[in-house]
Formats: sequence, C-alpha cells, structure tokens
Amino acid sequence: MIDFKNVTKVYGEKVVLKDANLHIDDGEFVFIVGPTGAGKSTLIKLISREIEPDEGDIVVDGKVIDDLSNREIPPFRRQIGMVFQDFRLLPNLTVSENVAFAKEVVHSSKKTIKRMVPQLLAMVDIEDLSDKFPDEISGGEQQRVAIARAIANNPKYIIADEPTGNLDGETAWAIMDLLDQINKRGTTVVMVTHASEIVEKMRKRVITIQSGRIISDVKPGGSTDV
Amino acid sequence: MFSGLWYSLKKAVVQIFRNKGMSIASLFSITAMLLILALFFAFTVNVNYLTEQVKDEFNTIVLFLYDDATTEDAYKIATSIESMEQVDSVKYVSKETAMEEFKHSWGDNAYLLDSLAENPLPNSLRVELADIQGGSLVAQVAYGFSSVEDVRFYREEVDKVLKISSVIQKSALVVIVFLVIVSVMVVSNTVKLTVLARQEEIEIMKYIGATNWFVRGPMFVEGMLIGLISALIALGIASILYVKLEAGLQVDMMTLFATTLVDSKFVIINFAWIFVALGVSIGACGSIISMRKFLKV
Ligand SMILES: Nc1ncnc2c1ncn2[C@@H]1O[C@H](COP(=O)(O)OP(=O)(O)O)[C@@H](O)[C@H]1O
Ligand SMILES: [Mg+2]
Repeated sequence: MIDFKNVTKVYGEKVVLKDANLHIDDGEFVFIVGPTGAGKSTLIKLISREIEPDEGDIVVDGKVIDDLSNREIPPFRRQIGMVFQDFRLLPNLTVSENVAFAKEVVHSSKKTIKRMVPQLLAMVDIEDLSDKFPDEISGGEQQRVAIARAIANNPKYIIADEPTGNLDGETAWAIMDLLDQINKRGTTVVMVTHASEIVEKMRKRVITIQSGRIISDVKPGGSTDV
Repeated sequence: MFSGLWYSLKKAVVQIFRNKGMSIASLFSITAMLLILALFFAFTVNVNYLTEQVKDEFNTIVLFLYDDATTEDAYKIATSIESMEQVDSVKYVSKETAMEEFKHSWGDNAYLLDSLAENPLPNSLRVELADIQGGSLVAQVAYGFSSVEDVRFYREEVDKVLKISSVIQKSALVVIVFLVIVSVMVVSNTVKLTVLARQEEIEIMKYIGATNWFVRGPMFVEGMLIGLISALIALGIASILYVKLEAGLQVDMMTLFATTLVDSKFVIINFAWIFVALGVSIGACGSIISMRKFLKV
C-alpha cells in the first residue's frame, strides 16, 4: 500500500509537486502519465525515498517513510524493484552478475544465488546472454536484465520510470508483457510512461499529472475520482 | 564479518582487472612516489651511517707526554681523565708500541724506519670519548697536567662533519614529509577519478538497497590491494637498484671514506615495512576520502 497525503515537493522557488493525494492498493497496476516536466519522476523518487517531501507524508505499508533512518533505507529499498528508461546496469558486471548483485546485497547464500539467477534470466527470456556485458547486448535485452534484477528479491513493488522510453514498439510490448505477468503474480506495479498507445491498450488505472498536480485518476472500470 | 571480507576481496580483485586503466594509473603513481621516497631514505640512512663512522674515527683524543714523564705520572693522568663522564676509556701507549704500530702501517716499506737511530715517537694516552662533544673539555683538562706536552684531537673536522650531516638529515626529512603529502594527494586524486567514473555505479547499488559498507567494502579493499601491489613493485625495483649500487660503489666508497654503503639487508628490510605500511594506508585513505561524498544517495 502506497499513500501520498498532501505531498508537496519544492526545488528552490519551483513547486514540482503540489498537494498530491494518492492511494495505491497492493496488487494494482498503475500508469502515471503527463507531459515532460510534469513531476512524474519526482513522484517516483519520493516513493523510493531518494528525495523527501517538503510537506505531507508518504506512507508505504503503514510506515511514514520520511521518518526512515539511514540504516532503515537499504532494507526499505529492497522491497522495491526499480526499472529505469536508461536501464542502469552495472557496466563492469556481466548479465548474470548484475542479477546476482541484487541477491548479494540481501546476503543470499552462494547456493541460492547460483540456483536463482538462471531461473530469473529464464523468466525474462535471456538465459543465453548470461555471460555478456551490458554494452554487448541490445536495449531491449538490457531492460530484461534490469527487470530480472528488479524482481530478484521478490519485491512487493515494481516502480518503473519510462521503461519503454528507449525501445522500439515491438520490444516495448515485450517488456509490457513481462511487467503484466509480474503484476499478475501479485506484485504492485507503478509505471511512468509517455506512450499513449500502451496506456490505451493495457486498460489499467491511469493517473495524470500536469504541472505538479494530479489532474485525473481513472480506474480500469472507467470511473474518475480526484 | 569474515565472509564479508572474503566477498570484498573477491570483488576487489575482479574490479582491479576489469578497470585496468585506472588500476594501472593508481599503481604507477603510488610506485613512483615510493621509489622517490626510497631514494631519499637510502641517501639519509647512508649519510647517518657515514657520520657515525666518522664520529667513531674522530672519537679518540691523543695526549702526548713529555719523555721525562714517568709511568706513574701517566697512570695518574689516566685515572683522573677516565673519571670524567665524557670519557669512555683511556689506554696507555708506550713509544715502543707506537713505533710498532707505525711500522705496521708502513707495511712493506717498514724497513726504512729501521735506520732511525732513536725512536722519535712520544709515550701517549689514547682517550676514547663517550661523547664526541666533550672533546674540547677533555683537552682543556689534559693541558692542565704538566706532563702533557700536546693534545691532538679533531674538533674542527668533527664539528664540520656534524654540521653538514645535520643539515642533510633535516633537509631529507623535509623532502620526505613533502613527498608523503604529495603522494597522498596524487593517489587520492587518482582514486577520486576512479570513484567519479563509478559514481553512477554507486547510485545504482544504492537503488538496489545496498548499505554504505556493502558499496565501500570492495572499493576499500581494492585501494589497499593496489597500495600493496605498488609497494611490492617498488620494493623489488628499489632493492635491485640498491644492491647494484652497493656493489658498484664498494671500491670508491672504501678508498674515499674507508667504509661501504649501509648493508643492503638492513636497507631492504626497512624498505619493505615502510613501503607496505605507506602503500596500503595511502590506498585505503585515498579510497575512503574520495568515496565519502558519493555515498549520500
Ligand atoms: N534536482 C532538481 N533540482 C531542481 N529542479 C528539478 C530537480 N529535479 C527535477 N526538477 C524539476 O522538476 C520538474 C519535474 O521534473 P520531473 O519530475 O523529472 O518531470 P517528469 O514528469 O518529466 O519526470 C522539472 O521542471 C524539473 O526541471
Ligand atoms: Mg521523468
């Protein structure tokens, strides 16, 4: 469960997010849409506790995350899988090492890592790329690695900031398929996107932001409530 | 804890090989600094050693006695001089013994001295000083005895040597301190470049939920490892050069100063611990200092 309660974020003079209220239930698939500069990435960074709000509270699973101490942030982040437009793989690690890294961070045993990594790579259909480095594979393949890494620790949430932004149409749809599957297995997915075609076809909840304000929130059934 | 260390060590080794360029740059700068340091260290140690040798050489004051002084007089003088705290020991050398030694130093040409009708050398007292600075005082006291004809000691020479060597020691110390500071700066800059290149990487690790120590551990170990490898390379080069130098200069040093360079075993052992301690701490400090600001994501 993710709750925004009257959240405002200001950069200098500029109000980037104004008085945002939001409730996302467990298991939901939510699109966040809006023009460039609207404040979508800011919203995502607030959820992952990369930045803190100037006003209001963000509550994840009943806990106000602004109150997290520095020690509590790493464990908190481990229940969120992040996916980005630019993939953000570790360039010096191979595909399987990139995925293994997420498991090393939570101190999984070597045995578990050895068993899990091939399974994860198989889930995103890239088991044959395991020894390649990120710069040796295509964008779509890199994004699959990033998704495998994001789900490695079986997180409650997947947060994706324009995950298809750098990919061609067909590849983008393959990634959407993956995210949909992950959601169907019970993981909450929050995805920022520009691609109106994807949003229309997927028929999920859509939250629209403009100039830092949530201007609409449309549930799959068609009801609008802001 | 132990498995964490092992994990860091493995990651560090892999990273060193994958970031060859940066590793080699750090390695090169630490090694170069250690070698320059070695040069000054070896120089200073040898100057010290030479000074000690010279001190030993000039540690002796000789009191020449009048021919009419009796052994009893000589004994009296010896006892009272020996009681001075600046004096280590006093030895009576008769004119016959002196001649023996003199002949000995002439070696094969000693027969020339046989033609002397009479032994021209005086009886003497050889005073070994405990403290070379006390030479003039002992000389002053010795002149007070009526049986003492003359006193020979090397006050000016000793003063000159001491002054020069103290200047050399002080300036070498300044240079060494300066070098250590410069090398820490150079290394921490090199490491900073490495970390800068990895800023994105560190951010990604933090996104995934890595703790600061999880990120820092391998880089810390990596810094120390690079420092250690540099130390070993520098040790190898410096040791070989010193041994070569010692062998090459042996003859010249012997004729010039009647001594050799400081024993290479001693110098190399000191190189070893200085290099390892300095290299490892420079590497570790460098990586800690340069990582601090990037861990705040
Ligand atoms: N660190 C920052 N400092 C100052 N301004 C920022 C910062 N991050 C984002 N902004 C501004 O906040 C606004 C919203 O940014 P963002 O949330 O990234 O928009 P988008 O909806 O395109 O993802 C933009 O005008 C951007 O310039
Ligand atoms: Mg954005």
